[in-house]
Amino acid sequence: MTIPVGLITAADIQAEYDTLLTALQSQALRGQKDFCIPLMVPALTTSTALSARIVDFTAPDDLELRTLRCSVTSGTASIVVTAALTVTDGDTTYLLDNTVSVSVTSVVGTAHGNVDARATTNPIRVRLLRGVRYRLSISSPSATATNVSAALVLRTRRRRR
Amino acid sequence: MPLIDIRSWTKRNIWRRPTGDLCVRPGLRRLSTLSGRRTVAGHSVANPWTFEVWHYIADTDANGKDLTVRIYDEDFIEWQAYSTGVDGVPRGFSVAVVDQEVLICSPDMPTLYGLVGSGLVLAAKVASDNPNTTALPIPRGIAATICNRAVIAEGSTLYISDPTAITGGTIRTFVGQNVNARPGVIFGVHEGAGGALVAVTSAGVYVLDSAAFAVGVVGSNGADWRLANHHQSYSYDSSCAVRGRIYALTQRGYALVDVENDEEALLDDPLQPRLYGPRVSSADWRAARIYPGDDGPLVGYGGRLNVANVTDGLKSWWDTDISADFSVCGVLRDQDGTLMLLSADGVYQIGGNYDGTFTSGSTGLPTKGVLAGPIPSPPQINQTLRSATWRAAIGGDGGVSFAVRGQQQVEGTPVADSRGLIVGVNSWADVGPIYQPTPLARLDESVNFDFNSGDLTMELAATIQNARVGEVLEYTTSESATARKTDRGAP
Repeated sequence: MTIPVGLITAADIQAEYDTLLTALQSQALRGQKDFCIPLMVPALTTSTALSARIVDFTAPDDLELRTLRCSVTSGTASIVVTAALTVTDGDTTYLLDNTVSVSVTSVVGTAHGNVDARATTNPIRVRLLRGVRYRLSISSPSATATNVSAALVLRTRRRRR
Repeated sequence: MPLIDIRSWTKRNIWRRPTGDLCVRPGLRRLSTLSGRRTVAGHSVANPWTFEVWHYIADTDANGKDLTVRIYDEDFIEWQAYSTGVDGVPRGFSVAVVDQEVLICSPDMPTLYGLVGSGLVLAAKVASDNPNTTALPIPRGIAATICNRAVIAEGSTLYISDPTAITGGTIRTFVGQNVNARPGVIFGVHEGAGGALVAVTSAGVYVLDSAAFAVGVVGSNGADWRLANHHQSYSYDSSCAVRGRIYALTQRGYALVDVENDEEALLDDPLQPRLYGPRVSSADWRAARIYPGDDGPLVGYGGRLNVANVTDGLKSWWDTDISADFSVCGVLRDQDGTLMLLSADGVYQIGGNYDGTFTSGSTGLPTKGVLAGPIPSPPQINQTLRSATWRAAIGGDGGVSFAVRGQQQVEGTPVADSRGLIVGVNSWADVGPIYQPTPLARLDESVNFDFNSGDLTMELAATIQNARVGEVLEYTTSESATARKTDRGAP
């Protein structure tokens, strides 16, 4: 969406609305829908248990990886936190041997990072395959960080048969 | 009134519908222009778990550079564009698919690996599950799938991957123990009857039965190669598998090469006076490309396509004026297995009643289906054609045309008569049966045969897609008063 500058007319708003609606309609026709798998750790320490910083899920259908995001809100800078998408049993075949991860270095405040896999020319272009168990995880940090969150944005396709 | 069975006549834009009717071919409708670049090859692969079909299509820029392999979904929406870093049109663009793993191969580009339904990456070797074997770098060449293994032929060498099963294994593992060689350069690898591996080479066609693949080291159980046919190939994309039979291009057309035989399907149009389009011929048909069709091989040659039905021996060249860039370079399948043509300018669906694009309607002229052949003529008689009757179910929209020796034609909308016999209509509206004989006006032009006999040739044309055409021709002739000279001397 392009946010107009200067005087915004009704025609500007209508044009942007039409563009967004067209994109949503074409996505809807193709049965595409984006959804998010979130993971949040309010206080991530060096001793936070694995179970508290992972979420395992089995893809119910083939799902396109769109983005992997990570953010850290902290009062301390230079803490490195890494969010990663892996296959639960360690088999890298189902991610085509790609490393899907993003590292964020904290600042005093909130820092963000993301892996954008949306473009067709992106070197990481994968779909999570139906029936395979994947894991979204946040690594153990170098020091305590607060409000660490990670999110996977995945896209579905309409099942035709 | 003599009758001729014209089913064996030379055909142009003719096919046989599943109902058995001989018809003018259906329309060719372009579904997508894909990337807008020049498409050079492609294959369709169905996901065995989700039944989605994905299309792997290679294209280059207008100068043949920047070879890119793209993945398209069922609606031909691009999902991934993988730039190979190579310039040039890839020969032998082929795929090997086992379970959900896919290898995209060509001798002219790095081998790519992917999972059907996911993306593509550069293929890298994976260690073998067998600790006694060492994985080789993944070769590049032409590929096929045989007995749950990938087979890649590079030059005269064959690499066979480890088998893939529920217990493990991957088609990215090639070991030295499963490297084979053939006497000649391998230009085609296919799965033949019974799951056998068929290698079409410059030194003959060799077959390795599927029993050889039952053991870890292929062929170590005594199953060995046999020479199935002495046919020699000299280029990639010159052989294909149709219903388990292997066809290969020859100098005069194509032939079955998985067994020894002397049968050959000839592709040249016969040499005769022509009115409806130039003659299709080639000094050497091995310059063409052959693809697997539903009922027989498809041979692409420039902007023309030869479509065959091996069951009844029907062969016909198809041409179209839809686009100057129409040139078949592969075949695709949709989710129902229906054949689509991959052309340099996009993907074409075979169907409908016009040539054109899917959304903007007809952009080509109505298709003219033609049958051409000779009328039998005893050598000592000069014949004058008086009338010819042929039927085609064109309704009121198309036309029926006749040409004799490429010089004379009569064209027009056939006149219905009162007999009310049904031949066929191209409209499902309840308009009543129409019987459509088309007698010519009396032709007073006599054709003199001084030295030759049997060259009273005719072309019959029906202009409109999907029109059913008659399979017999009725004609009347009269003899001239003066008998023609024969080689026995003047009477």
